[in-house]
Amino acid sequence: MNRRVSASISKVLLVVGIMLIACGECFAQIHAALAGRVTDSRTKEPLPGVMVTTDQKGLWAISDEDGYYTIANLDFPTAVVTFYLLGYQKQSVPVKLGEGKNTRNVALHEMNLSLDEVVVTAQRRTESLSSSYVIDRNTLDHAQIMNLNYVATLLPGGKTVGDQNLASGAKPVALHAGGASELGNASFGTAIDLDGQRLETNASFGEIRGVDLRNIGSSNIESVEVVAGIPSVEYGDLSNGMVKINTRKGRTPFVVELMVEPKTKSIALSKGFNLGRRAGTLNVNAEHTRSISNLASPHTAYMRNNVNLTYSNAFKDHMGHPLSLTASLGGNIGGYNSEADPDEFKDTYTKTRDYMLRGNVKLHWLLDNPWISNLTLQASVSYSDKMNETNSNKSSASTQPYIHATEAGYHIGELYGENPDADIILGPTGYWYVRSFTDSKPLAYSVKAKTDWTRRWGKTMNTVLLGAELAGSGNLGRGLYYEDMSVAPTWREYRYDELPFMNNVALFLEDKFSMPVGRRSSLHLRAGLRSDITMIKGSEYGTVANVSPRINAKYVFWENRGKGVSDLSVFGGWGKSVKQPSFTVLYPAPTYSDKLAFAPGTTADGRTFYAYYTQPTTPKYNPDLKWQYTIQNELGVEAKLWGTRVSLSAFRNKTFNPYMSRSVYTPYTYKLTTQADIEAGCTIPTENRQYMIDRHTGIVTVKDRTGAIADQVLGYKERNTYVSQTEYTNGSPVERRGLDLIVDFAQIRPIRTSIRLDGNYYWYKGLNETLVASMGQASASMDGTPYKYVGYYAGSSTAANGSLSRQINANLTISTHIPKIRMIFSLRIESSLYTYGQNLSEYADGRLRGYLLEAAGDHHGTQQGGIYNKDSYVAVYPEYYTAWGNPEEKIPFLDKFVWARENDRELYQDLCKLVVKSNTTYFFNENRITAYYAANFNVTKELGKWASVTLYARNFFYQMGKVKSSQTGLESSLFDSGYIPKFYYGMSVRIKL
Amino acid sequence: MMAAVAMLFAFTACTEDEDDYRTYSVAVQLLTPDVADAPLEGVTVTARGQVGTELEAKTNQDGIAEFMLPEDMYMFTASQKISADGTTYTVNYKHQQTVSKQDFASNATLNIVMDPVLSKGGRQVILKEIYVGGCPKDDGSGNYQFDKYVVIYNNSDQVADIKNFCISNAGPYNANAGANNYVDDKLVYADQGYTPAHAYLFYMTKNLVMEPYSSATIALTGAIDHTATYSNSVDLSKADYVCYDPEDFWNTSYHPAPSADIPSENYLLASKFCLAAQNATAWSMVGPGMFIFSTADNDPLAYSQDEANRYYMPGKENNAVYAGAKIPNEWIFDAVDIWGADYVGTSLPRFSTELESGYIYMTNKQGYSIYRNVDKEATEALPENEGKLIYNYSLGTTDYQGAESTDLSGIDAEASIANGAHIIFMDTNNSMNDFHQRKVASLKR
Repeated sequence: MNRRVSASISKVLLVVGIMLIACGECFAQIHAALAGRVTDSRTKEPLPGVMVTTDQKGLWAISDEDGYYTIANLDFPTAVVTFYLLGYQKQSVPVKLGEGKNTRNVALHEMNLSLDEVVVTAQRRTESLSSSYVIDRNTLDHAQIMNLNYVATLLPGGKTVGDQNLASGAKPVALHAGGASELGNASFGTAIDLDGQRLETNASFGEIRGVDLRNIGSSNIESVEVVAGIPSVEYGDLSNGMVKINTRKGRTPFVVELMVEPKTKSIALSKGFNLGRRAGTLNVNAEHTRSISNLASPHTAYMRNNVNLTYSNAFKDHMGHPLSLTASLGGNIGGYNSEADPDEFKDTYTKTRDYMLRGNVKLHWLLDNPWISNLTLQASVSYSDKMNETNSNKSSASTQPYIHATEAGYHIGELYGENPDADIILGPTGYWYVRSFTDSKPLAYSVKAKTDWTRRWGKTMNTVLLGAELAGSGNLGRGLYYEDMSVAPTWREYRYDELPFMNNVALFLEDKFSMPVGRRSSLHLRAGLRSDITMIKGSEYGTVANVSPRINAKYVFWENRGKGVSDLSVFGGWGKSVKQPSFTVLYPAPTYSDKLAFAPGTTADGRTFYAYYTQPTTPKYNPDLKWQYTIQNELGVEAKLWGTRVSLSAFRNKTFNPYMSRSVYTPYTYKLTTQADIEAGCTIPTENRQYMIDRHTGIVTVKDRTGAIADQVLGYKERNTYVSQTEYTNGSPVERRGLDLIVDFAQIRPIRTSIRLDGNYYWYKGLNETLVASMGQASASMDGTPYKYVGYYAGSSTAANGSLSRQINANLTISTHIPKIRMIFSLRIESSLYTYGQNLSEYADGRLRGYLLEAAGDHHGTQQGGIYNKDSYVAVYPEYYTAWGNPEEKIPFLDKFVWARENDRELYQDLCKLVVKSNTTYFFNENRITAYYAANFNVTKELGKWASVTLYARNFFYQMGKVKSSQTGLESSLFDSGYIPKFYYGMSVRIKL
Repeated sequence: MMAAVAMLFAFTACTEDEDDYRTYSVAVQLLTPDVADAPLEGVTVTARGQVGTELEAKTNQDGIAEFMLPEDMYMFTASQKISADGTTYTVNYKHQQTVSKQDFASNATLNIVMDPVLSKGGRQVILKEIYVGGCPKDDGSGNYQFDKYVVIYNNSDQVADIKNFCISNAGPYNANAGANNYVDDKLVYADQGYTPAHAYLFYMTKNLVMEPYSSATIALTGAIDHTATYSNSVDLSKADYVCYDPEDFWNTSYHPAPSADIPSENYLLASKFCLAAQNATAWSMVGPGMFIFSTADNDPLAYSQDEANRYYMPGKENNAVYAGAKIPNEWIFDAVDIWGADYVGTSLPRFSTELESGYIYMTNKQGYSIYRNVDKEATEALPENEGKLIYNYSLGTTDYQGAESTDLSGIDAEASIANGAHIIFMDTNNSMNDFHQRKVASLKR
């Protein structure tokens, strides 16, 4: 498949090349330079540091201290020149160029609410060839985004739910995805870039999920771009789109920002310093945010203390070409802490650090030579400290076995004072504290070089992008450990810092081509290929290679035509993106099965010398593990109809090989010596007994401390059981489809009011068929021995192996912007018009997996007439099962089960325990939730040029309605539910000095 | 079976009080059991409301007790002993009823008819004491609850010799749990002839033999001396029996190896129907429904593991978290429904009326136990008790409403037993009559 795709791309590139040559013959070239001065429209003062870009050959410049810029080597008589400076409105100016020097001075308008063009909603990036939205600073301020995890709520159909507090845990962004119950790890596949630096969770352990953005201060963000569609091949290690966060860079006034809502308070200071002539600018931002999850317990809080320094400067090389340098250093000290909570018992607490240090250097150099236009070098590193510390109080009336054995065999408990290195420590009696640490310190680095080569022939332009990236991630943490090993509970060391780094080398090549078609139309193409080679030294995974081709195209029928349909374009794309696994997937921790092998009676002082048989497992590396990837398809149309801008895009994303975990059961036998065996075989008085257990055989011998009686060997029973361990593998494909719609109606000028309708349709189907092993819910076989059968189920050992969901969400935003009084008001009504869910139990080919039962207690049912919407219980059988004595023999379950019903009652009773049934009669009923809505209100007012205030209320109608579920027939209140935002309000004040 | 249907009164329905404290006329009729000749007169009927109201009224010659009640959900109960043909029966009544404005037409009385549930007296082995609520830890960090026990008692003058003796609890673990056995306000197995043993049962591997008027302690958790660490707790190292099966419940905090003083033949083994991963028993420390029974000639493990005898809470079918084993009511010796004092308003009965027609409140975390009341009349009638009974019992407590919860017989059972007396405990199948909350567990010395 990859080879076919590569061939296709080669053909596309060849066609593009031929077209380039053909077009190159068509237009005469000139030799021109453009120079000018950029000033502030109000003060007329020169503006240094303005980024001036052109649509020719990738040429650009940065204005100097006196506001002057020069761009040489322009070779086409017309150009569109764009001027951008932090805090000013971006301006694009068409320029006609003659031979030699041309002059164009520009006055930029300071960005504020007195400008007509201010928006407070996510804007579709019309210049993009893919579905992409930009959320600018005004929108972030107006929505008072304090927690960047919530940024997706501003997208078409996005809904605010709950509140933004930072203390209720991470809620990572997942683009074009539904809830956390969906298969396919959507948030893990959503990439986050901060100023070009990738933030990732690859070296994290625990749940497979995306980046928690709580530790990124919202006050330092200039804009957020959300690429929901197919990104450039420059970006890898993703499967569900990406979020690009851009911080403030450039000279700014001193800004004090105060934000408050019931559970969160924040203060931020920022300033962009001009360091002097040619010395560049330094942006300094400091933010303190404190957030609680429960108003009744304000002492337990999540704290964010951000400091960000960004240095930027522009230089000129000996040829006079500009070179921009950006270096940033950012960090956070904070996290979750319950230490001050008076509701907690004395000295008990949970503290989770969220420390982070990021460094990023980027060099962008205009070379402008015949074969290379620009060179960009970027290096970044990020280091996090996610140490979780808990101090808990413990007590016990008897010695508890703390098992630390890592080798297979029988181990007997020993007092810490007698053998601190014992495999089983007998804990104390009385009262004590246990302080534990889970030390996770992910480290990620990246070095990236890319060049572009832009050529233009008339209105035909081609840019070739070639780049390479080396990125890696590892974890320098110790994992879980205890301060005092004498009270460390059952635990085995698993050091994260001993695990190999995962390194990835990527090469990418992309061609971006634009050409006119006729007088008004134009065609834009982008095709690229990315090759990722993931290297994991010292592991069984070795080196894994993946290829990701991506193509985007856009056809502009016309633009700025005047009346009626003034703009019309269509775009589409296809692409593959690959997500590297996380360390949770790569390095599942070894597991240990500890079975009580001997438990002599507790003595009067509370001591019991427990002995356990430990069966360890080696980490279950899966050499067949494939990297998760998504094939994205999208198609969209954009138009401007009588002043109303409409954007509609459709996507179809299919994620293949999603990472998933499953259990692996390995049979083993151990010996169990009971109190009855002691009573039967030991005549040594209790007070003189000394128990010993053979490490290998498990035979218990009792010694007489007085030596009066010879050693006595105790009897035992043999027990056959299993050790289970987690293996990561790949699940079945997951598919998502949808439509995103934005309709920005033309402003009603007399009342300065704009109306936006945005919404989405979302469809998800996940159906897993990967075999999953389970021992059911049984603890014992009918003969009283440990349960001895393992069932292997298609996709899941529960009644459903997937689900189907559909949603239609629609939001109406009414914004009134009165530039004269510098105020903008918006009312956003968020509605969920259609919410549908259905649990599924079937195979990919449509065959049913479940059987409809007549009664809950039945074990045999029918598939006639289906299982859905029948108001009845459903049973699911394993595909096959294995027995303890012969784990290799896969016995087809249903045949044997039916046979056993008549012929082997005990086997039948045991196999009944592998039959999985739905817990309710409605489980496989479709679930339609009745429509519901909530409304948010925001107002921002600038008080002169020095201050602005935002006030908002979420769910300000205080929606108390109910929704009904068709699955259960029950109604539930929207109040304080997961459907709509909580009722709350907030305010922020920004003061510029 | 039923005999008479009496005339019901139809007086003025409600008082002329203000709306927010209006009272309503409620007539409760006790239907006459077959073994009685006439309606039961002079029987005390108790109406307990969820907000703490408790009113009593005696039945008239037609077996009707009249109340004036404010709006609330009430549990009406009554118990009476009657003798016929040389046999003593306990007749119990239990009915739950909402009294609200909507139930009353103008000037009407709400008539409630309660069916009698008869049981023969003289059950041999009963639950004498239930200690499950935990006690305060010495360091002030909360309460300790791994010291649960029950005391069973031979309430007869004959030796008890019982095979396949078992102990379990009715579901849900806590009487107030939201997931329960009610559908349309009715206990689903109320008239099914069985009671589900919830999650697990423990069974003896030998016969339970008890001398007349003797006690036996069964440690439900931790058969060790808890007092060295928890001074408010009890010493269970001398328990007679212990529920201990570490292959099913291997959590050594709940289930440490029992004291070496307890022979292994006195371990009760588990039959587990809850999740395999559940590593400890979950006897409620809030409000358990405890019961003891025998599976007669059936092997307890085989019977309870048989899928044919499996039970799931309604709406939780096939979910092992809510699994149980159906125990025929005729196998059950004794059942006690305990309601957490903090959750009276949301608690629901877990036993059919024939087993338990009442319930008993428990305030947990204080070291209190639920202790059976002495049948004063029967105990004093035993000639061998002459001079051995000790009175002025003072270990009662107050219940959640502040009312006294004590043994009204005034006999200090434990002190009297220690003094050589034979105690006959109350056994009316109504824990409101039969139990009180004891300030100090009897094993606490």
